[in-house]
Amino acid sequence: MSAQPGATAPPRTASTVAVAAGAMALGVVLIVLVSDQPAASVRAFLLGPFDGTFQIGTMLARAVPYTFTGLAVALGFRAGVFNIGAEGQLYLGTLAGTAVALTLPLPGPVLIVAALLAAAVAGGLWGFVPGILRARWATNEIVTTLMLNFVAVLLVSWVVSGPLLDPGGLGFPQTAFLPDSARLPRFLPPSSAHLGLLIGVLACIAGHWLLTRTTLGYDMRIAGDNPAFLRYGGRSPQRAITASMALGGAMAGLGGIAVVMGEQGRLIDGFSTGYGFVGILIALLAGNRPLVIPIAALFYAYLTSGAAVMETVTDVPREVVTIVQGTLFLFVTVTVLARTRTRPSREVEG
Amino acid sequence: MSVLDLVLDAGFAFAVLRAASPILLAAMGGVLTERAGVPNIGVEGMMLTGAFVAVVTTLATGSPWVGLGAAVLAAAVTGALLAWVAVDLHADIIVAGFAINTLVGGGTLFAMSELYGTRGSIVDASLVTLPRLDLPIVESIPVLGEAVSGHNVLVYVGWLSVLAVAVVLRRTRTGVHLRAVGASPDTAAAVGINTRRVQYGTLVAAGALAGLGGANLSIGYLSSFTRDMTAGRGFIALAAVLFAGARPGLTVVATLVFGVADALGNVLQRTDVPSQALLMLPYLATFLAITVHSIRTSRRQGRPTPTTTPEATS
Repeated sequence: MSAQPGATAPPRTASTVAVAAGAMALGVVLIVLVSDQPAASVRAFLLGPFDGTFQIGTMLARAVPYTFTGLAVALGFRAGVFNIGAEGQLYLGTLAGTAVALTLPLPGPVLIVAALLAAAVAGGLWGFVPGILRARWATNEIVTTLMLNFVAVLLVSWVVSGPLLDPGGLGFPQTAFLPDSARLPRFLPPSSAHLGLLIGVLACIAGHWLLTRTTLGYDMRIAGDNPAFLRYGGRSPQRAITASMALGGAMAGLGGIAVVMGEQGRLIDGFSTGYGFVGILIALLAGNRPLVIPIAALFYAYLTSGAAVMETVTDVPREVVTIVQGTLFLFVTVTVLARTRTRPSREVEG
Repeated sequence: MSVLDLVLDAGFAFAVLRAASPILLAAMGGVLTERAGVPNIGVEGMMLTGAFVAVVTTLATGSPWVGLGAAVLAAAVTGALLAWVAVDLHADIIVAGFAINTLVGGGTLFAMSELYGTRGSIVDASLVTLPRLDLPIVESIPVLGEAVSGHNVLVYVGWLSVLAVAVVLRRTRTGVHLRAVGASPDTAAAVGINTRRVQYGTLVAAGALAGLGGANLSIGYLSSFTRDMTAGRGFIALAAVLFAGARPGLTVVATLVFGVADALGNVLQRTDVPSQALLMLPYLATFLAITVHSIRTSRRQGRPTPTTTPEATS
């Protein structure tokens, strides 16, 4: 078994920035090609997110789920597993957190903590299952986490259109609004920027501490870099792999409930615009370094905000940003992996 | 009519074969890429490319055959793009595969919104679909004919593709080269095989097959394009390949299992089971299948086998 030097080697920040700039340039070219008012569109795309408190706050709110899912995926990568299930873990965690916030008669701060905990536990369980399968029987986590994504999204869809359907919502698949006591405090009014951002940054700091200062974090890194070495030392890569997936799931669950408690106020069917998948990109852009993840998340939030502003003020659809995202995705590992690798490469075998 | 009656009907078998067919085509591409050591996570995006281009071109030209050709071509080009990034630029092939899915998902929405001013679906009464084929002689056999005859042509192309892939892998020089590259790119290169050409060729062929699968969905099985209409079928195809250990014959069986889950969901729609539970069936079936398979495999080998192999693209 070969060592995987990539996980701890410093990623090449300069080339990552170059890829990001290149992908944005492609986005600008696309906009100019399709827009009837290219100058206004490009301006809205690049500068729109900084246009006043409201736009800035909206951008900060957008960065919250990306921060959590980026951390979720990065923890897996560091332990050598590819957690594509952040989307499903986010959905399931959000469901549990919302259920707690809607039903438990607890006072404000306690209710918030209870809902966050419920989200972390449920998301963690949804990550634990593919994690332990991978650790014990080498079950391909790419396939299992993907399939569990579909299951979680459909499960939430059923719950919000059945048991937790908002009675006053005219049958629209969503829950009732959470009580005010379960909302995360906001800042930068009238935007929806909320405390979730701070929780996300704290989670990333905790992730950094876990990886650099604890035995479990050490085991996780070595499980990713060189599992054989870990075994020779009498330690178990299995435990580290399972823990990384469970912790990642917990982070994804927190990201989803933060969106509900801070931004949207209720759980709506299909509320995630691919937060979990964007997490993969965020983790790669940040070189799987927890402390860089909030910055990468903010960058991606800037892109989506720019696209949203552009769509409202001009004729260019916001899907331009998905093309920018895909391009980033396509080339981000080129730079990082040309000399080192972020992730142990292996074939997709069950 | 009870659910049991519906399932024991020849019409159910017909529905299973129809639902399994797009997955089968994509899975045959997956057999090739697995054997060549270039895992293709982008198969989902390649199917979606095929589905989209098939509808757009068929609407523009009025001919589903031209639409089919364009779909295959576009999906093959997508395969070449993945090959370029993974083989030549040494990107991580799994991440790059996801990139393909993201690009195509966003690209189709973007193109839809630019071309038709919609982001939901392209439904047009003038969309001509691929013809259905009544198999001579077979169609008159009572139950069998009802299940097997009368599918759109791509269903039969799917069956032929199994034969073609099996023959190529076992009986041709190309197949030997492909398997050699998959087993060890360095060794293959040392004996003079052009590994780059094999990896490119395999991904392009897999793209073409996925394109057929996508067209099967949009201008065969259905007659429309909806955003993300492949809905994980590419990943299910990938799971089928893994489950079958990339053997063509067994892969067919695996795709049929998913066809049954899909068709069963449709039958149960007539009961009060929530629709979401039914839609879950193929994904749950895939999850369980891949789990059971891995437990069996690692029991046989005695201990967990972390599947670390040399970089497929180096």
